[in-house]
Amino acid sequence: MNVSISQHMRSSAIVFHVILRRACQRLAGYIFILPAVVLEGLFFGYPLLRTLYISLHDWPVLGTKHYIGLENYDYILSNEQFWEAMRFTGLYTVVVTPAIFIVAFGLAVLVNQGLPGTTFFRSVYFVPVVISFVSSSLIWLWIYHDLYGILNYILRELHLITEPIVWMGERKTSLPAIVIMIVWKTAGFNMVILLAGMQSIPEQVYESAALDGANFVQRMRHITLPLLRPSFALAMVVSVAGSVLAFDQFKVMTRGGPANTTRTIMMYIYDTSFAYFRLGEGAAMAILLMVMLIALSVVQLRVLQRQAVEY
Amino acid sequence: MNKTRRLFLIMVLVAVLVGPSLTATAQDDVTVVQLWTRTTSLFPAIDAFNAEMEAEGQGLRIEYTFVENADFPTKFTTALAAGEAPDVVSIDLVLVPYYNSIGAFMDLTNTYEALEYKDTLNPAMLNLGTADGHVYALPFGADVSALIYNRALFEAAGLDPDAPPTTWAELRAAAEALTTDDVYGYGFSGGSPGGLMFTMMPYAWANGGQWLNEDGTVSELDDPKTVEAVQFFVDMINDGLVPPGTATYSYDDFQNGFKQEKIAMMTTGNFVISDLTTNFPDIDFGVALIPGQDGKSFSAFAGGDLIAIPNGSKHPEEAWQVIEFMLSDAIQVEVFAKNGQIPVRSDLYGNAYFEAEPRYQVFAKALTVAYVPYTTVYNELYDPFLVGMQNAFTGEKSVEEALADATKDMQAVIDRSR
Repeated sequence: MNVSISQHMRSSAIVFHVILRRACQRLAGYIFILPAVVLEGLFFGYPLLRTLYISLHDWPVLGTKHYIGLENYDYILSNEQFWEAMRFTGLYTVVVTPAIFIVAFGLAVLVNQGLPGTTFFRSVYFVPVVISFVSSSLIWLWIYHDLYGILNYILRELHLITEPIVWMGERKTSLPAIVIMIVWKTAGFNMVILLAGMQSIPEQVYESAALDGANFVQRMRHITLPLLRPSFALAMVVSVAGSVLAFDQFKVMTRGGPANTTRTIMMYIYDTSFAYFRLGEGAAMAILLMVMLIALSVVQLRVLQRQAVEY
Repeated sequence: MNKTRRLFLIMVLVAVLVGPSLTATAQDDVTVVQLWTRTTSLFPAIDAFNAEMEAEGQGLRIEYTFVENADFPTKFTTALAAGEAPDVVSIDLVLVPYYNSIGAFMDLTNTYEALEYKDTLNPAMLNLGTADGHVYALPFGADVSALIYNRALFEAAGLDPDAPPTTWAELRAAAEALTTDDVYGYGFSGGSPGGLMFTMMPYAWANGGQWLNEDGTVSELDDPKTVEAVQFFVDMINDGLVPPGTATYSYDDFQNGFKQEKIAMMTTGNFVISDLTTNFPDIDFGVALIPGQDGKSFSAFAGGDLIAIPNGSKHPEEAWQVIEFMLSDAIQVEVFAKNGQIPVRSDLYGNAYFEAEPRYQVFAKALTVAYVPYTTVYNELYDPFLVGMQNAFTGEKSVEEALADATKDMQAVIDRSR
């Protein structure tokens, strides 16, 4: 025998320690993610399951709750008010998203030039992001006030209008007005994401393109935009989700009016659940909205990440 | 550990063990009645009650929770579902039929019948607290609507400030005379369904129109008499007698306009008197009843609070004691009338405060002709109601069409709830 018994025991001990350490590392990994999993389960998983449960019932506030299966879903899908709210939410999302991104991209390009004052402007553009939607809505509501608002005052002083415009009076003026407010408020956030993406594009790629004779626009089209796609996808998914779930700005500025023409789906869910106390219906609408939003996000990611571009 | 630290620790331990039992004995003797209210005007009444109980040496005290009006239904319903409702609740009367339909309140019929002044309680308000012939909530504090007008602007326009409009034709003529380059003759809130109920529907009621039928089972918004009333105000919008943003104005918007003397007439509630006399004493204003078309009848919205005892209260007897106290002269006159709320007992209308400020007497009179509809789905009906009214105000639909569509949608809401 070449290996003694004690050597055998020693190598087994070593192997045992290695296996134990690996197991401990794996366990440590699980322990590290445990708080996040617990919080997610508690504040997202459990409420989600409970909402699903409520959506399958007739759920009066006091009294017995009756299981009614998919009746709530049936009612909602044939309810014109639900679709009206969905259509308006869709309209708002389709209008506000390009507005935000054109401005955010423009700002990111500008800030990326490295001109003097870059750091200052980067912060200035980001400041509106940190105030609440409600505060922002109240500020802009005063700006847009038909009799006492500064916007109408300026427009009248410049003789662009003679009669005050009632900005919140009808959807065709209140929607663009609110979109402007939202662009002001959120473009900075998306600018930061796009900027980070831009700054991770290596200089050499631009240099070699310049050597090949590419001008600014061509560099933008063939280098910046394609390489920006992952950042763009992230920013887009987050922005679209936020727009679909829009609540504060419309609740404060138009109260959904006139005649529910500016009522978003979240407002309708809120009213149904907490003003009319139809909790089963509200829960069902929330579940439907979540499913639609997940589908929308998946579609966006598929489309935006279809060809990973590498140089 | 050293001596001082040990001594300190012992003292803390003793305090912690003995302390609670000391305070507990003091609290054991006092029954605390939990009360929820949405109006700050109630606070002096609560203080008065607590002061009297202490003076008499009775171990009874009210602890109140103020809940914002907009949050009230959600918070109260949540508390009911959790079994944590207060012992006494002062609640917006329009919500009471819903809460009665879910059995939220204790039956007060017997104690109500024993009240000596039961026949003086405002019938429109009492009706909303009643279900199936049983009384579950009593009138408590009244808010009623009437026409308010700026007497100085009346004089400037050549109108007699002591002769406010009593017919629609007079109201229209006055609005026309009062509208100038920077003043509008009239103002209302097209964007507030509660505001429209409070300030516009009474014109329809005075004209013979209806919102719902007697027991709230049929929507009657498209009644021709109501159409006439709404058309009257749509004409004002189209002829520029009200501010251009009126169709989406909030309740504050038109009141602010009146307070800036940019709006000469408005319909609003008794709470405006103390607001104006305290904060805008330079405005010389008058109060008049809301007229019907031909001046033969008047109407108003009977709003305000009812008071009730939620089922599950551990102190129903003490809660009733609080209610009786709140309905007594001491409170209805010395607190409510003094602060500009109309007493809910008609035998108390003739009090010193109303004699000193006769404009309150018009509101008291308004309460006698006031009405409020009965329905268990008040908040839900507001939605189609507002849509219909706004479609009429913006000209999106003709008044007849807008109200007809609204009536259908309101009927659908009612039918779903039954």
